[in-house]
Amino acid sequence: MNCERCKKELEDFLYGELGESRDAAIRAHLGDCASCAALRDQIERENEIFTQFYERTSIEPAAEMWEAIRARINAESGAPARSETGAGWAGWAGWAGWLDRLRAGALGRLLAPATLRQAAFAALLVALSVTATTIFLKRGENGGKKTGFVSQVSPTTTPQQGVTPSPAPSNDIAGGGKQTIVPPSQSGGPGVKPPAPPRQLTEQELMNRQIARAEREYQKAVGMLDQVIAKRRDRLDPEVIKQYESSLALIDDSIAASRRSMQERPGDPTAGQFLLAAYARKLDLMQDMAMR
Amino acid sequence: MNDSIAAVKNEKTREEACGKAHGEVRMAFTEIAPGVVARAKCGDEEAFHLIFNRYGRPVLSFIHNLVHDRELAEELAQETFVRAHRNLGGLRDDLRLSTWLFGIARNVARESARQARKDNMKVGLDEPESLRLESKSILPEGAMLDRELTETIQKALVALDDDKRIVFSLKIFHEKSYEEISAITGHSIGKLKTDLHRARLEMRKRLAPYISAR
Repeated sequence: MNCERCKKELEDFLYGELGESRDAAIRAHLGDCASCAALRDQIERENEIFTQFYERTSIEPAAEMWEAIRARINAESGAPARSETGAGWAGWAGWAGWLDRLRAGALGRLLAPATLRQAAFAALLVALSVTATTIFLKRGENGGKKTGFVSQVSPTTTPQQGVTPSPAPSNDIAGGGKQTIVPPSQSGGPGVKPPAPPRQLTEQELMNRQIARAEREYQKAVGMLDQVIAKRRDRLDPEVIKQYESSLALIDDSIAASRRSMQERPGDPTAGQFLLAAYARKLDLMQDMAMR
Repeated sequence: MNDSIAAVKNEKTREEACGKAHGEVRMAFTEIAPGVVARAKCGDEEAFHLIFNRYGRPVLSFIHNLVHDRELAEELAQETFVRAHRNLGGLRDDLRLSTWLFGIARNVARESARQARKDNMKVGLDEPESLRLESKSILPEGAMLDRELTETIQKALVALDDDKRIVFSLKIFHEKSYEEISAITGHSIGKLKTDLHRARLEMRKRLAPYISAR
């Protein structure tokens, strides 16, 4: 393997599109070649940025879209379109209704003690972010005073139900990344404007970032549990799978609804709490499914 | 009364015909369960709703990446799911539902662009709606992205030609394999690789000022 060959196949290597032998050859070359390893790091950084871009800009379909689709497909099949969501979806009443159905419905039948190590690990993944976020949301509810938030866990804070209390996260909200985003104005070169002083984030922006971080942690855990459940799927009762999927759909509806509420009422910390509560329920459900 | 009995009988028949799908095929939950697809094929509205819930967001976002107009993207996503419902019976491999949906979405978007050209309308707007970020929009984790970078990526995506933008979106945002993208677009894998590589180089050029190794 030489550098030319490696660079040609590097992207496919990172996409997981190479066969085992090519994969091993690239991996070995990267261990020996600093130049190719630097290119790999660059592509990985770009991919991380694109992933975050997608998370930020992807669009959640409005509830009305499903209603419109249903009306059209029912019109095509000649069946009357019944309204399931009703006007309640426009606000919290509808959202709460879904949650109530969830609690009383299939989810309740599926809940059981969780012992599976992988599932427990997945749950732990989210504890840190959720605890910090819950605290932050409570601050918001109480008219939390000022910006420059340093997330230290107060001993009097009540953690979210089902979430293990955890140490305070770093106060570096932007921390953990491998790279720095430098605005063009700070990146040097001709005609460079003087760097603008960093803008202090508002309470609202900080809150949204905390929620987004917690949400991402939940999504990671969900991904792990997906894999666990997929491996066990063939051993599960089809009826249980059906109920599980129905419950999952209800929760996903709740998550989508709470996201919309957050967009409609960005200053309301309760919306974030509902969103995280819905994720907590999704994780509960998946943990239970994973240990069956 | 007779109608009720007939309805129950029909439902039973449908369950017998469609119920076998449960548990027959195994797959990851990252794709929707084939049992759900089988139920949807049999006219189960709840099952189709599950499909919409699972794929509404990626399909809508994919279309939005192609047309850069949220309102239009929502209309086209709606059309995509209506067509999917209409043609679900023709889906041969239930395991490839998402690939099939993306393929429909791509066709719907392409037809829309063609129609827009006919109408002398400009679909690829100079200033995409998506670039006019609302001040109320939620700002998720800002570790790496700021608004300026988001806008730069949007503009860079718009600047890609259609083939490059489609393969870039499907590969990078939706993590589809070359094989799947080939099924969606009808392009050869060789062309896809070339387009993707060139797309990445163009994106890199535009993003270069924002990224520096620590």
